[in-house]
Amino acid sequence: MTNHWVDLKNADVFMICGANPSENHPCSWKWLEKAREERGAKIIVVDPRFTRSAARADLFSFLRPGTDIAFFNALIKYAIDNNYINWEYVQNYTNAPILVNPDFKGPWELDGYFSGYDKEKKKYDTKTWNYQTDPATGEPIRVQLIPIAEDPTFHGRGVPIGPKDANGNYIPVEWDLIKAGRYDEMQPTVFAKLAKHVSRYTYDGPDSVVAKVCGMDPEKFKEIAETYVGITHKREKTGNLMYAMGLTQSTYGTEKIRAFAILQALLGNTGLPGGGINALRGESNVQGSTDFGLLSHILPGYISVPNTTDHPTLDKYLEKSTPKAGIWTWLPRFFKSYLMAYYGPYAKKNGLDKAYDLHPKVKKGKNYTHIALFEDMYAGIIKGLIAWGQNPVVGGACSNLEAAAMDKLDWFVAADLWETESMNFWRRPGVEPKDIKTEVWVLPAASSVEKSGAVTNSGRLAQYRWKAVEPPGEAKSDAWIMHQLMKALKDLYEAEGGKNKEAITELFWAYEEDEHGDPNLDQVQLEMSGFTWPEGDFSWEAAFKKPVFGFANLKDDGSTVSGTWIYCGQWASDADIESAAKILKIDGQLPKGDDGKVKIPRDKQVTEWNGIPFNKAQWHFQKTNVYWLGSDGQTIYTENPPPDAKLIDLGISPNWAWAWPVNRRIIYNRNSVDWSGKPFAPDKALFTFKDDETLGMKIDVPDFYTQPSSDPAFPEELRGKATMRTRSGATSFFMNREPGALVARLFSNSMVDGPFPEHYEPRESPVKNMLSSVQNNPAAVLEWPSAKNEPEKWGFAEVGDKRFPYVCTTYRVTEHWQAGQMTRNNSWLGEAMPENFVEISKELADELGIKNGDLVEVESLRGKVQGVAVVTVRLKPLEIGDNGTARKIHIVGLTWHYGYIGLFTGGPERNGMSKKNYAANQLTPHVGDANTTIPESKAFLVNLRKVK
Amino acid sequence: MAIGDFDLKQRRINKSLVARRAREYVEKNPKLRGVANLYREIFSVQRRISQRIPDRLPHIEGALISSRLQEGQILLRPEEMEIDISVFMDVIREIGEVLAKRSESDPFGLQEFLQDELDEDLAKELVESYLTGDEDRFGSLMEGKSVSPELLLLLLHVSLAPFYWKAAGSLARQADLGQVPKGTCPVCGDLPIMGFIRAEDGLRVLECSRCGTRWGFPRMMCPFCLTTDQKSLSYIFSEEDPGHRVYLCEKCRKYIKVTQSYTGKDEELVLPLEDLATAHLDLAAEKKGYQRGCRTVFS
Amino acid sequence: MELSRRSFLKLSGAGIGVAALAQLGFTTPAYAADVELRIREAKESTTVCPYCSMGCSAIVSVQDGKIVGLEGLPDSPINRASLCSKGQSIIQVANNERRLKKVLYRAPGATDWEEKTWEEAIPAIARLIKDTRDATFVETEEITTKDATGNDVKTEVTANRCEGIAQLGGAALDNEECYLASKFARALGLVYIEHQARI
Repeated sequence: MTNHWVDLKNADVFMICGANPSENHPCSWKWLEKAREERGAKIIVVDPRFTRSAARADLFSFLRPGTDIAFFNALIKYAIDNNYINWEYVQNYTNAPILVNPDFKGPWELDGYFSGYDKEKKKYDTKTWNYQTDPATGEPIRVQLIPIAEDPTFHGRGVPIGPKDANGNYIPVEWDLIKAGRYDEMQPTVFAKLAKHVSRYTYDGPDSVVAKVCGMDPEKFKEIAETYVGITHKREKTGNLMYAMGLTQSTYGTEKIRAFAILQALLGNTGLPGGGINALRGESNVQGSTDFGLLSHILPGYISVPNTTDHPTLDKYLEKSTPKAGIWTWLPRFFKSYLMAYYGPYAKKNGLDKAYDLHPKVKKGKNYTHIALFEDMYAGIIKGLIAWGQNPVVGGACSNLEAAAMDKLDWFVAADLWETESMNFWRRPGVEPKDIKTEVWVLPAASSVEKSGAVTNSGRLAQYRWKAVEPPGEAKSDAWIMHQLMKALKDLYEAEGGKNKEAITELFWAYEEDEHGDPNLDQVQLEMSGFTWPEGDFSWEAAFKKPVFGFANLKDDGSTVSGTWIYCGQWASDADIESAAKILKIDGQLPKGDDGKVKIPRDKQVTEWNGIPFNKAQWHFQKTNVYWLGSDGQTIYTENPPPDAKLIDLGISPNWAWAWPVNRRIIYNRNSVDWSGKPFAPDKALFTFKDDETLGMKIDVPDFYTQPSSDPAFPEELRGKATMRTRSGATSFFMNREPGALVARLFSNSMVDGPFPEHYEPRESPVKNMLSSVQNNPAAVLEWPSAKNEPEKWGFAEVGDKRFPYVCTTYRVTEHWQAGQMTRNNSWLGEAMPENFVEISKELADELGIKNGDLVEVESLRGKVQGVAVVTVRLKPLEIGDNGTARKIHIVGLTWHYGYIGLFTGGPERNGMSKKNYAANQLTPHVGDANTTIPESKAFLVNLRKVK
Repeated sequence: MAIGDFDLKQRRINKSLVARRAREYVEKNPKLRGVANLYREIFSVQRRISQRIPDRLPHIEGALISSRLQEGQILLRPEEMEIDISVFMDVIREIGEVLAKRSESDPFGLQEFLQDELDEDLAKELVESYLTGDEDRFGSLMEGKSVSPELLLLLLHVSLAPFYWKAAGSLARQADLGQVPKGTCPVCGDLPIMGFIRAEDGLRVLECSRCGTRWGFPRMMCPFCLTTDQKSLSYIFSEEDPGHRVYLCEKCRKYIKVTQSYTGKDEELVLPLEDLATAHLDLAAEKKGYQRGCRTVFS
Repeated sequence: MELSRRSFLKLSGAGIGVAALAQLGFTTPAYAADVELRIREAKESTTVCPYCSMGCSAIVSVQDGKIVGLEGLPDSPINRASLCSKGQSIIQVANNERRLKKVLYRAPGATDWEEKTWEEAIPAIARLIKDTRDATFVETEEITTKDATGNDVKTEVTANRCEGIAQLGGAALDNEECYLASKFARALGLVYIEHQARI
């Protein structure tokens, strides 16, 4: 999430697409209701099903699974056609005004492809996906999309000088051309290219793209567009996207999110309270596990993994990976501090270069992600598997294939709370245990209330939870298991030697143990956060005396340690200490500097004010950052408000736990104020600037630097003048890596499948792509080896395959969670939702003679699964276009929580193993997104029949 | 925490409610009769005389209330109290009489103090020094007086209460006191009597021993030393009486009693009586070596 | 009566009401109910829900080492005391007969589990990891780069990766554990490191 859960209350319009928060994030809904009550917010749901969220929405439309880009691009077109654009934001904070490389060509010119496609390699060369640069400065060329008074230091940026249209929006310089759709005649800016690109995504009438591709009613589309785009493009209004796997589980999932991100930039919605792009993550710590690099392409803190070709040495790694601009120019600090966390003592002796050598490097261009991993397991490359609480036999895509891949393992080690389908894969329905030669170890693990530690929620907030009870029987925390295994491995390698032995024997793993053999997690957390390597012999006591307060203080000389730079400062940030000390009334005990400001002593005592380290202190006092808005609706007071001022509380509780980075709750928050530093929305203000251009009110931690123009480093001719330089407005998205474009990128060369989002059909689709002759995302791997070698078992249905006439989509229910082991073993939840069900429309039920409650079987090319038929009006057949004729498409809905073991399996069996498997993922295809390889589980083809 | 979401209701008690509740408590524990009656009698004097105190508009309103709360300041500063000393003399005398009835021989020097020593000037000075916490001045005023300091402080506490009720009532209703991380009253700054846990959402609510204001206080925090170290916080309860808990703090070794599952209307829960009726838990906590961190309604 | 500054400070504290009542004859034991108290000790601590990613907090009540109650934490700005049906059932995760309590082992081709101890499991698993790692380890590999004149140059560089072992999971672990899982896997040289975020 760019924003956070409580911030939902600040939104004016919600677009819920590919998510169902009312069902799957139930407690979030109160914040939507609060926005509705207090701000009159509107809630829009667009989904293949009339979900529980839809039932509480103001506007709902059906949408054919997998057609979100067509819908989002049509919204962008609607915004452009109606001049519903926050031009001040677009001109200054996006790359829309930048001129595009003349060699760039789009799908409108190349029948569905962007320039640079290599049909042999099935990959794009992205070299034309860039800008025209000024030969003198090397900077991308920005032009004026609207008339502005240009900033003296930043060409192409500045304060708008009108004129405005009847809606109060600035009229773009080339409005006549835009209005006439003559985009080719415009200056070749990103904006002109985007306008041209989305002009194909029509929304008017029954032959429009939204009607024929998405299956939406064009009138409903307009109502939705007028609500979302029409309201939230206004500078004081914000809208946000709430999405989940409904968007991402697709062969073009990343581009779906991009499409909406582009819309948000045009409307000026990102960086403001109530706005942003909000991924509703599904698991309590899936944010944390991503942050800590438990993925094949990233190390902790989103540092990219080194590969042998580009990064054979540390110098090469830093040279090739460090960009010229933005926050990532600090990569050497982050990466070296990371290496120190892994190999500190070794590096002190032998240097960081040697430590880097010990670290694994991947093969450049090789995919190691979930799908590839199971493909390689199926091919016999992977011999051993360790799983910490993951159950791929239920949760993995094409799970019959993934289970069959596990048959080839020599060994499998699974730590979990329960017996899962995965650890019992050797006796799953349809196999003979004696044929499976895999050795399996099952390790009983502690649950969340049986160990202490932090988890990071979707809003990037790391909250500490305290151990309440001991784990049952001989169960142990996962930390204990990892710790004991690493100790045993160190002993083994010490005694016997082995490949790259030092990587293990020299690994910095010096955590002290308690009497149960649990590692000291405070020490782990200090290492994650950061400390200065002590002089002389290492001791934890010395390390605790030197925590590093925030990643800006990390060093690139190997003197600091930070296992995960984005968490740097979590151990104790200055702001934490100061505010806590104030509230605890111990700030008087903190020493003051000459400037009268509290100086934070860097020693352990401070990190343990009041007896607890700050990272653990969920500050139960709720001091929020608030301000008062005068009755004119404009004047902001931070103290001594007049009595008639209104208290504004945006729900930022800086003292409640800690959010990465640096306790910032809303990222890109520079964009909440306009060029001149005035909040776009006075009732959602995060910052103000004083007359001397220094920062005034700070409701959130700024995502920008300010440099007062009195600064000696400031150019002489600009001293004392108002310029964006003093307010960082020119780098309002400074996490980007592109020089000259630390702004929102409506056009990007960092995607593998195109600088703009283009609609393609899901890998399995009932119809041909109406927008071009390119059926599927050409940059995605459309056929992994399993499908190539055994198409009859793991392949795909043809376009419009008569054997599999229905589109199937999968989803979750509130009573269950993910692969089910945490809820199907629980009687309260299991009884509330005991069996797998198959949701179909009345129309399809009538066609097939199926009644509510019948047992039905759903079949894809890859598997079959049974469930109880639930005939509802929540699904309806959609009329879509197919080769010029209208065609009715039926949609089948399936929950994916069930399997074959547990108190509840998904069928009538209880309390043990079932002879049938009820996992919906037996049907899904083994194919994934072009950028991330997230499997396409939300749109595939099936058949359906009544069993009894 | 967003503000204004707890919808905290202030107490609504009157003479007949207090009488009814007192009867209920005494029925369960006859030993309570004397002290419960004392409270009833004091309450009825306070109540009657409070009608002579004019309704006052709050001295601050709107944004000023929220800004003071944000800054952690009390809403009713001692200098903002308006005390009509003649009314005060009446209330202190009447309550003094109630107390004096406890004994004929005046062992506490109470009657002597009220009849011979206390005049309006002394009252004014005592009130001022008491409210501002000016210990030196208070100490010198007390010199040579016949009443015990404990009783004098009790008298001042209960006699000032009606003035505080009047001034705090409308302020407390306008302020958002749903979640105030202070162990002292956000309106007048005095200590609580005890707390209760609101059945609907588990909010821990404390009630001021002086002005009767209720405020929401974090569950996992000690009201007295404000620690949030969960290793230091625990509670005890008696098996016979699971409806009450005594929260203990290892850090400051103090305790607070909390009513856990009140089934009636929260507004009609009479915490001053609840406090007296749970004295067995005070004894249990003290036996374990913890000190009472709260005042009583009497002082 | 003499009232020193010190005693005033003491008297104006919390104990004064109790002391004043005692002077009036109402000592605490005099009005405390005559009940024989069986005092029980209990502990509350906060937890964060292990299900979805909102991070709702709850208070867990523990008596005699067992969870006896769970309620939404009113102090959490995120959930304000509310919990969904899953959140309310966390207690059934802790107090559940179906929880794994022993290490289990399935030998190749076996039809059922056998119980094992940690003392057996840790060395046995370390051995499996080491043998597979050493057998499938890629210490170096040849890469091709271009020299200044554009010709292909082949060099042998360190790869130090293990292709024979994969690690899955993490979204249900604590941050400290995720960090350790990452460090554990990368020290072994693993490159197939994936978890629920990808699916």
